[in-house]
Amino acid sequence: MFTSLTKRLASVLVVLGLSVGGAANAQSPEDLNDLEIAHVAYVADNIDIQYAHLALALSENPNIHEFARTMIRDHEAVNEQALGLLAKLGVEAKDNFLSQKLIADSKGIIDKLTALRGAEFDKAYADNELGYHKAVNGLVEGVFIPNIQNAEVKALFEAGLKIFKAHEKHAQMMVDTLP
Amino acid sequence: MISIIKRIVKTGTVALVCAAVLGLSVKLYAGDSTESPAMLAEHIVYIENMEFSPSQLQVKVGDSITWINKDFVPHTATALDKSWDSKNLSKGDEYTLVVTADIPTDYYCFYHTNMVASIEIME
Repeated sequence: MFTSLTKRLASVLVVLGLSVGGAANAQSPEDLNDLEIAHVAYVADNIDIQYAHLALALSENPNIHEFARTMIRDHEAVNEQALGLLAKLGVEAKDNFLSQKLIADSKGIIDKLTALRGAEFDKAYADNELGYHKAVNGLVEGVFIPNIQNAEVKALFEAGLKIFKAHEKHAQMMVDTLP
Repeated sequence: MISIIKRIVKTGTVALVCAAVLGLSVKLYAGDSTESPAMLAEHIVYIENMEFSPSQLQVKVGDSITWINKDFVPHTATALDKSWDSKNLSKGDEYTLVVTADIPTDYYCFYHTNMVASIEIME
């Protein structure tokens, strides 16, 4: 019965244009299906929101605060769009190796940032934001967008990439102007 | 922008015809000078894909500019010296500014400081 239900669900998702096949227990970003890619993006958004809350708590630099508030505002907006789209499609994002790796990596970064104060924290936060956005943008542009099957999901990622590229430029400016 | 100006002209033409039928005397978007009434334009700047479009806009004193946010992330349209400021514009929100001779013409998005644009005030 379970197999039958799974097959029916898969056929519905195929009709929706969502890729759900992928490799079982994918270990490479190229192997992730649409629902797994959506999960990675959701996790990546939430990680950056966590970094931003840390910056608001620990930094005293007004420019860092403004940047952090923008990260919270924008990434929450992107997640709201993503959740709305998944609800409309009647599907749920799927946990995977890359989401888990991002979460594990972020814990180490949060531990390091939490130990810093003042200018040291500001520099480490700005450097991390630049590196994080560069890495995620590269993944979204080079791997996710070309592989996403559903047109609406792809369009959301394309819109998201423009936002995240603006964040990357903003982070670069922050890195360049910090004392 | 051209379509908006055409719409104003069309609307104004209809208004003039109606007024003429009713025997009324009207001035169509007359500026301060009654001797040479100038058509005042309503300009629209869309905020979309993390850009102001158009990013450079030619206007005249008395024209109005309306910014409309089409992105799903919030933006602002804020003078560099902050003397005029839309404040937060969520998706679909609008902000209108009437052009005066002394307004600062360079502006940006307060949230995304790389988003910059300008107004050029023509004689």
